[in-house]
Amino acid sequence: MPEPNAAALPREEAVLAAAKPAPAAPLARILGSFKLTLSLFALLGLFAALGTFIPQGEDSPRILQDYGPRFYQLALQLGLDHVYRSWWFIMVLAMMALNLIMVTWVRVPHVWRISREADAVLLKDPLVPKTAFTRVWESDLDPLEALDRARRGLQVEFPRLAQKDGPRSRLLVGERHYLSLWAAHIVHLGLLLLLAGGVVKILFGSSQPVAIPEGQQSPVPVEKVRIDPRIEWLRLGPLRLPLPLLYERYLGTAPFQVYLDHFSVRYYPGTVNPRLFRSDVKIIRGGQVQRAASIRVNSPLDMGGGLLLYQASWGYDGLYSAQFRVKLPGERDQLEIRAPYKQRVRLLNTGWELEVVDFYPDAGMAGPGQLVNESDDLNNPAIRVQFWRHGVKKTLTWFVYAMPDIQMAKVPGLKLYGETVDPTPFTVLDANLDPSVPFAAAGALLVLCGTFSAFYLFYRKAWVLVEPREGGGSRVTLAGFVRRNKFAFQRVFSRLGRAVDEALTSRDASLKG
Amino acid sequence: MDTTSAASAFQNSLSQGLFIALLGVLAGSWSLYLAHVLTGKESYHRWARRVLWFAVVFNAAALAYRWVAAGHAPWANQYESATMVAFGVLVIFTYFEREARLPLLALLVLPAAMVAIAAANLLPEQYKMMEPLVPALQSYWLKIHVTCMLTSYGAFASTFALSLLYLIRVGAWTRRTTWVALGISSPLAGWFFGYVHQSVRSDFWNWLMTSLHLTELAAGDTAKAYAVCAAGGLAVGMLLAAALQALPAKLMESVPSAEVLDELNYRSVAIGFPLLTLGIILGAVWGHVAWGRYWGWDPKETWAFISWLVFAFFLHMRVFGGWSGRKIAWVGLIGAGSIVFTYWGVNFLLSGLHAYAKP
Repeated sequence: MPEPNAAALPREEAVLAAAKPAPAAPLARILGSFKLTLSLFALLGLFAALGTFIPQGEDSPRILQDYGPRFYQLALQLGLDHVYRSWWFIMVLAMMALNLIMVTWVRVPHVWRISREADAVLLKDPLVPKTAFTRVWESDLDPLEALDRARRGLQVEFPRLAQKDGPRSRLLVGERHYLSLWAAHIVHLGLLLLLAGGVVKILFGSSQPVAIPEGQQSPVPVEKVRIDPRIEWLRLGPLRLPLPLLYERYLGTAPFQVYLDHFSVRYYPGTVNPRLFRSDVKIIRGGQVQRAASIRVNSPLDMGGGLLLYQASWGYDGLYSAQFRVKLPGERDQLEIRAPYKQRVRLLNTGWELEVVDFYPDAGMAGPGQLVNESDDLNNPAIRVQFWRHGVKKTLTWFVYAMPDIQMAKVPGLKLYGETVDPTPFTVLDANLDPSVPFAAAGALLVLCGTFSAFYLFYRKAWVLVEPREGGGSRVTLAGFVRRNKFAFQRVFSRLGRAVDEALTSRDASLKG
Repeated sequence: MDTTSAASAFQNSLSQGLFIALLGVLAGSWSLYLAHVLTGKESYHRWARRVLWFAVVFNAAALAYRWVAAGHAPWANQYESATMVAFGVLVIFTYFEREARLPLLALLVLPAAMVAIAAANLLPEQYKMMEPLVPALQSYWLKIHVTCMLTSYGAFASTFALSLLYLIRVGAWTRRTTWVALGISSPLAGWFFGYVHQSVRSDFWNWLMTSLHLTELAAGDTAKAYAVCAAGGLAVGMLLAAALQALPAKLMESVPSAEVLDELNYRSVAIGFPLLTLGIILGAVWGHVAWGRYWGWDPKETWAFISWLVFAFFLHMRVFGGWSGRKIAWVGLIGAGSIVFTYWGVNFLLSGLHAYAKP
């Protein structure tokens, strides 16, 4: 190692110049170029904006209405009706990813040199004896004593110091906010992870709606992946490129079913503003109820393995559930029944069961004893109920809510009393399998960490070089380096100078210059 | 009217009254800043700052009252979010006021807060009411995500003013630029005003049109209404331009040096950009919790991303590209424009999942 001397202390330009990135290969230079970054920013912004003014996806027929047939044709040809899934938009994103990788590839060694090799640079550097952040003392103190005192001064701003010894000189190095030196690259890495998460979601994610009427159960569709090596042709505008694929996606089901116990819609009193949408469900696995849970907006049900069930929508599908009372033969009490359409209901321990097998919302008489449905409006509801006793069919009877006195059951003592007929709601859950969560979470954390450390932490470094003087005493040189926010660092450096000065001049230490 | 609804109507009136009063306080502070700039008297500046501080506290109190009265964080609709934007503008500006003496900046920034509150007050009554939260908004993410976004908008209001001041300071913004900028933007603003008020049929619009004996416009003759609004906007813009030309050169004496303005401009982005980044990411997390997806290219999301790109461009050019001063100031103005579109334009002109932010 060459002998350090005061003349070799770094000026920031010298440090940065000495640590310049090594020349990259032409392709790497283009892909990692700053101009490409800026061009991609512009293209990405432009294309993204385009998609907000042109109706996308399911809304794309509105293009015809809003912009006319000629533009509609053009939009279809160019993929303007699905900008964010078009090949040219994906190409821009891919180029952005490539640019981020290449920028990192080219510049990381540069940052490494500034952070770790600057000391070596300063030891070799024949440049610049003085910088704005340099101060020199000529002291009568013994070099070891001067070093010890300077250490105390330097520790005011830099609690942790490293010492590097030359044959005659000694160097103290302190640095702070090291993280911020890497801030831009941390953000870039985070953005890459976010993009990777997007790719993972497209390739392996699944989002499938599950509509379940109240009182019924449904399997949960999930897109799955199986190994299937093959070649497919990818169309990139006019180009057709072979795309080797290793897997195939297919629509399977989750290993459980969901039973909708009840769907609730609540409104704020006296308003039509919804307060709550809630699906009370049971998870059925292997024919057994595994657990009961509620799913609300903003509160999905985590089924494990990355699969979540979200409350997506709801409605009425024209089904109804009938509410009525039954008096069974030989029983004194009436049983209150709420029977969803086409579901067998057990009547306590009486041995009786029933099922509403037909429902006419607007029943009319077509002839003696012959009912027909006249409309879908709920004007004159009638239900046809099948009764069983101990599993044996007993009677199939109509009951018209508006005519409770007419009992058509052929079992003596069996009577029905109508209460209400309610539309049966259905819920729409979104079964969402998202394997990109770890990528997105890590990416977002890195972007935040990088952004905040870039703005609120400033990498700063200071050196104290102690050299023996000819004829006794020592020369103490303080130097500082900061990448940004020089104005703030000037204050820090002044404090540092005062601290070192006080340390060197305290008690009986003699000082010249 | 039962007791509950009477109490609710009172709370609504009181809440709106507080924000109208805030408008008055801000107008007072602005007038004192103007008096200081025109006369150079230090006492006006002292009082302007005191009134500004009072406005910040008053705005916080008005928000707190609305929060308590509504039972939820008061940024669930356009009106409420505007009051929060105003708060963000004021808080960030007071920070800059502490850092440097910036009376002329106050003349540009305070109107941003005033316009936000005034425009919100022009909305029809039913859109200014405290409403209970719909299920999609019943989440603590509302408080975190929206606060970050709206505060970042407040910071970018300072970016706008600092960029403009810088351009004026270095002579890049000439008198002709003022005429051209106001000549183009004011009829557009008038058209936008017409569009919004035709769309939401505010009482104010109907009253204004009737007062001007233009009842057919209030009845919905949109083409004519837009033309009248654009012409009105142009007239106001030209009057403003003429007033600006007439301002004495003494005004410029109170502007800090170009270097200071450039540094402060960077700092305003250094506050706004991390907040915008945080807001976008928290919004993505909320999207995952509520809808099962982080990003859906919804217009609001997309425009927030576009604004983020503009400011990322700003930072790259300033830190790595060697741009500073004039070029950066122009980028700052473009970024501020993008923020205005993200906040106002998207709500009124585009549709999407953030439609509950519509008036």
